[in-house]
Amino acid sequence: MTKKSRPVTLFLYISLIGLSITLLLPLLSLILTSFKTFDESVGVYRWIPKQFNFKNYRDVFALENFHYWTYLRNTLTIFVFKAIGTILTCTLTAYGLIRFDVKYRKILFTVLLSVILLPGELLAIPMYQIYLSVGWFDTYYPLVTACFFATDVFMIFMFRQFFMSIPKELFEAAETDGASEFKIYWKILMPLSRPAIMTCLILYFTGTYNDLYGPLLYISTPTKWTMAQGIKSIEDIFNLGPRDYIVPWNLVSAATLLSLIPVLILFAFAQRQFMDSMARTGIKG
Amino acid sequence: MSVRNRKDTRNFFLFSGISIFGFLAFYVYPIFRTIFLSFTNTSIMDPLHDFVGWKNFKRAILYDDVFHLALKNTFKYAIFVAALKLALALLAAMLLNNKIRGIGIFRAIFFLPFIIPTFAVSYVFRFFFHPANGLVNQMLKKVGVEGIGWYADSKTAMITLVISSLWGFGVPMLIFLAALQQVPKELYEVANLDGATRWQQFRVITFPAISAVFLFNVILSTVDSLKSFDLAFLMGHGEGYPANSTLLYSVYLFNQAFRNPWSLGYASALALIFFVVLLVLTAINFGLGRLYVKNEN
Repeated sequence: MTKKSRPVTLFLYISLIGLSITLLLPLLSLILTSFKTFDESVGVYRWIPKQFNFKNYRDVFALENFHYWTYLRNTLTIFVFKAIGTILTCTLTAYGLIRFDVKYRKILFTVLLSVILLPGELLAIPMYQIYLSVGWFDTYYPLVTACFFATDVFMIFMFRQFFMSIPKELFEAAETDGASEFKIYWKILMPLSRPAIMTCLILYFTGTYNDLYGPLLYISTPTKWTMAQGIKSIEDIFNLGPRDYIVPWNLVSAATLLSLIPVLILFAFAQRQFMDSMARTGIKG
Repeated sequence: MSVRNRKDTRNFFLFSGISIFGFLAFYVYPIFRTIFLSFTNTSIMDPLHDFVGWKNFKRAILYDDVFHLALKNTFKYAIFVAALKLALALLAAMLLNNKIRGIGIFRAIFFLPFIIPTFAVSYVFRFFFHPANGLVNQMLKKVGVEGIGWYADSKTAMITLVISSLWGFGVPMLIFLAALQQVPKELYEVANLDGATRWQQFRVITFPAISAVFLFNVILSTVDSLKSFDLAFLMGHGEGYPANSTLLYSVYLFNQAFRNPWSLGYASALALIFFVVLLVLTAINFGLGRLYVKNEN
């Protein structure tokens, strides 16, 4: 942009800071509350707690019906299986689509892409019936199975775009050297695809961590809950009185903030890639 | 040549075949099954279903008052969230599209709310808007305004839900930002020399240049807000609390299908109606887009 005059720059900073404060206020209020005592947190609102203590955090871990590490482990387990399935089957599919010149490949790609428009509700009911009838209720299978069949069309699209940016000569040279197609895929293509795989991992991590719909449908035993379910139910643990009026906000805030830690760590370390990946998800439609 | 072709075909199915199977099993089959179910009275309790013809659709369209309310709520919610989110995202993107010191930090801050998982967002805002001791009502009290019930009052619950949903405008913002950075800077220099006002610059240079991305964002936000489930489910305790005032379509469908009475047949009809609504609205958006998109490629 062109050089800015001083009043314009000042105006920009005021707007940027103003919007930032508005966005950070709710979060800041939650952080401060996590250090308050119960009485402070449900009483007249004060910003700064009288005394900063970490007792609430200790209490959250000591709660009988809230198991932070279990929820984290369960969520990570689901994430690992979903990611492995999707990365494997979607890269295989995408490699087939760019590498072999057969007449169906354009048709197949178009047909696959068309499902992006379909709302999940349209598919969920029959799948629910099937998974229940094979006895998969209260297991993680319904949450991960589809990932092993290259059903994430957006990921196929993303990997295909990435693979097309790799020079074809690389594959052809390897072929002349007598490498099998699978060897080319595994030894040449996959190591080169690290940035695309990273994007997939970031999106899947946040996606799995956020997902509430799937676990609500299939997971019922509390020790099998994901983080989303655990945090959702934390207020029920206390059950102190009529809904919305007596919630122990000090503990709820501490637990909520603890649940944010994995996502925030990821964001801190891979901020740039994170935002690039998210901006591209938008393209997902 | 034909040997090569045959080898290619074999390899193609070896690599990509899994997606064909996935497509048939996880997309094609469920859709036809949903259509089939929508003409039956299937439920989990009673898997031996009977054909009921158009009864489910008639019930939804003609008689189900809760469904009508949910539909109305969803439209209200989607219109406000989509419009306000887009405005906020465009404004934020334009602010960020300036090369001034510390802009990277602001970009991260603007994006941060988006990465906060929805299950946490619901607590953030339920605490923020708490009728008795929430920050907002306390601040209102300081300036002498009587606090309102926010999410606990059926008159204001929807507004509270809309405001809470606006928090994560990060993705449309990043998409706008990427588009804004593509606009040639020379255009603005020429406009500056000609003495064009900021508004004129926006109308004549910026908006036409990003109009295709704008349409894309409009479609995306509309569909996303019509489909949104998590926050409404959490803030409304899964039942559109209070008094169905935040009951969105997706929540109603969820309760019909996956909670007592598990009426899969009726819920299938609801899902199909929803799909038609989505298609019609997307078509309308495309039509409106024709009026303002300047196509250069």
